[in-house]
Amino acid sequence: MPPLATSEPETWLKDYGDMLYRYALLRVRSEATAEDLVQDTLLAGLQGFKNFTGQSTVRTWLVGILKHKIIDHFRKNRHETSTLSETDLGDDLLAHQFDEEGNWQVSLVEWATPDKSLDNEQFWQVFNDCLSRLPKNMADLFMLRTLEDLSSEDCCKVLDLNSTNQLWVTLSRTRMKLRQCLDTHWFTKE
Amino acid sequence: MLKCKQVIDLASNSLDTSLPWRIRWQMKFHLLMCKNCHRYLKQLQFIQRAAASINNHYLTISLPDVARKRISNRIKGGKQ
Repeated sequence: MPPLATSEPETWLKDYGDMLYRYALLRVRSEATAEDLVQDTLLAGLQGFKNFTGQSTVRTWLVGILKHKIIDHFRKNRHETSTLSETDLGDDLLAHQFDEEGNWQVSLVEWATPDKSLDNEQFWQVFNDCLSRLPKNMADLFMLRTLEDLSSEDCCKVLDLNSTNQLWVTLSRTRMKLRQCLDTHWFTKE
Repeated sequence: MLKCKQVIDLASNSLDTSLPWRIRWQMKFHLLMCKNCHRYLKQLQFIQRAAASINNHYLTISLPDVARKRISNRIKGGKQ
């Protein structure tokens, strides 16, 4: 290994520490866990640096390591989180929204020019709050699926779901709750 | 005929996978007539776009100094 290589992790921490931390924090939503993940990523980078071919940038390479660490983290923690209850899955919200026939019994308000919200810092605060209100399993699943584009098979494995059908239902309920929260706390809030 | 309660699951599912054409066609037909379900789908699509762009936001989040120091110490330890 070239002598320069061992001094790299300090440089990586300086250059990419914020970026890696932000990346991890947005996904795991725990500052302590995000810190651990950044540290593990840099240590893994130090160990694996000889395998770094230079075909990608160091930044991309480190993010790749971090992604694996995040998925491992979700996998390791799945047993600590309990199975989702009916309330977790939003059965009460579903009963509120639909009559027994399965027709809407509430009216949805149109979200006017929602994409404008993407530039609004306050919107992201609300978005984050809404994610935090979700049961942890559901928020994890939503993040893995949407941000990491993890395949349905892998999502089931990581979160210990029995079938892809359970996965689709859980995702649907997650989005339903998230939609309701954004509707109440952002789009229809005066 | 699809019920609205089924359509919201299909709307979510349509973001993850490509639905069979028969279901897609039934859903399209339903959405033409049902304002609520149409809005619901649009809103889920927006949430998906928003979530996918999350890395471009929260740029003010940075690694706290104390955490940076702890990591730095651990890296030095890891090198020995």
